[in-house]
Amino acid sequence: MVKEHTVKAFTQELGLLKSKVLEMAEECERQLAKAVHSLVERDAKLAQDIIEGDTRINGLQGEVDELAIRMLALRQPMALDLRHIIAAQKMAADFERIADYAANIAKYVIELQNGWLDKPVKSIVKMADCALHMLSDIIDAYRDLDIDKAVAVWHRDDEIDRTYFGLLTKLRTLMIEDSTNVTASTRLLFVGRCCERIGDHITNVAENVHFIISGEMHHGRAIA
Amino acid sequence: MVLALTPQEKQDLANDEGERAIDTDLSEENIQVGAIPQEGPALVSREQRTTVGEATVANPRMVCRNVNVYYGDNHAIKEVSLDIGRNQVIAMIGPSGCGKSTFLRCLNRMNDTIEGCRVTGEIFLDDVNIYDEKVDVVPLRAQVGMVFQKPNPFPKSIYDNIAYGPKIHGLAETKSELDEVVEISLQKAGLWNEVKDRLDQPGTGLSGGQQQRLCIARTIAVNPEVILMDEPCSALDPIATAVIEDLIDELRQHYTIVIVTHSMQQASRVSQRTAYFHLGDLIEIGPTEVIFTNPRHELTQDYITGRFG
Repeated sequence: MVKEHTVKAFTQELGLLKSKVLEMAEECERQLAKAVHSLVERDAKLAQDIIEGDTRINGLQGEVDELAIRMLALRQPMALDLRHIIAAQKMAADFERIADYAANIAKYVIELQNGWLDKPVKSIVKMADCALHMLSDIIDAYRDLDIDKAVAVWHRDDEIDRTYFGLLTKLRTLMIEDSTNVTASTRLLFVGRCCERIGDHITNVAENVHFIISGEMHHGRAIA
Repeated sequence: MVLALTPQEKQDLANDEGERAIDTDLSEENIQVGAIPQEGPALVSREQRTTVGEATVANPRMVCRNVNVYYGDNHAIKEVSLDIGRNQVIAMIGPSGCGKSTFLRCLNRMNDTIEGCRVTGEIFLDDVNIYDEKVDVVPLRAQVGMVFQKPNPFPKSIYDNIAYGPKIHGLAETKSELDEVVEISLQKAGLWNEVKDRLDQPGTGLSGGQQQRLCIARTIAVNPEVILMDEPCSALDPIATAVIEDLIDELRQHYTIVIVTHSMQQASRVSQRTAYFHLGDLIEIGPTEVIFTNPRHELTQDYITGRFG
């Protein structure tokens, strides 16, 4: 059980920081869900909304940065508090990237209006759905500081990677079979790549949630 | 069929610069299933009062075993076992009344001077228990020197402040030997250049920070092995404090230093190991960076993160 700080304003600031990161995360979740929807429905108007919505997340990241730097300078945080602030700043950067990828997917949706390939789109939706589940779980894990949930999210990225591998194979085959598929295929390849990158950024977030709780650093996949 | 990239695709490729390259060989075996440990170490509960962390070190300078201190009925230090590492700075932190200064004073038997104070257990310096009846405290206190909270130069000249100790301990016989000890000690304490032209002036005329460095020079002059510092900067301004902290870092090349401080920032800046005391118990001891980023005991975490009371 963690007690409150003697200086109550510090506790309040830490709470504010966490709520801003959570707000970013939830906004990312909405952006990615909309991106999947716009892809499936080939909804260019929704895609345009997503692209415009990205600035909100950029703004939130700026707020997280400012607050984190101010707390580092003014509060001299230690231990658990230090880990919370450092992790918040790193997670905010990952969420900002995730939102960028959601916006990128939306940009391709607009371009894909004239070429459509069902099978690879299904793989992409599968990847994006998996990423959405991971996002939702990592938000819970961060909110509740649930280390088991963070670890589970971290491992789910393998599912995205496997689907991505399948997607690449499918796209290659489609391009070899019929060269008129090349433009649409390469676009879908980039969309798939966006989902794959989103998965990687979510694992970064999972590592940071783990770091807050355990105090141990994990630098991505290099660890065996 | 033209295979031109759209502007968006070019933009994305540019954005990906510097990130992990796409692994085009995403075969099953190439996907590493990674390893975050399943469980972070839980913190030791506030109720638990045995020491957490590594109390021993390889090749220690001092070894303390089962040390208890009583002031009359008050049990001020409870069964503390701790090694003091060679050529290291160890910081003792904890709230007022936690016993950190009391423990520091055990290391050169300064507690002997306090009436009603009783020390049990063993403290070894070079395989000799300093609490052994045969031990003479006068040379002990030269071997384990002390610097106090308030600079306390003798009401004598700067020169005599340094020369007094070597003279009474018989460390220097001739005037030229004494001159050399004075110069070397003041140099090691980083004070020589500031006072070399006024060695005959009173030590009490120096600034607070200079007085404290004079006291450090005085301690160094009698060839100590261990230097105990009890809040050495609490009466100094930030610049004088930084000068002393820098000096402490240099001194550890030659000496072992034990510092008691109320400033956690100071402990984190100057020490390699940190010990956290709470109501007479040694709660946690470990590498300074671990204590301040990832302490193992709830009481340590409460204290260093400002969750008091």
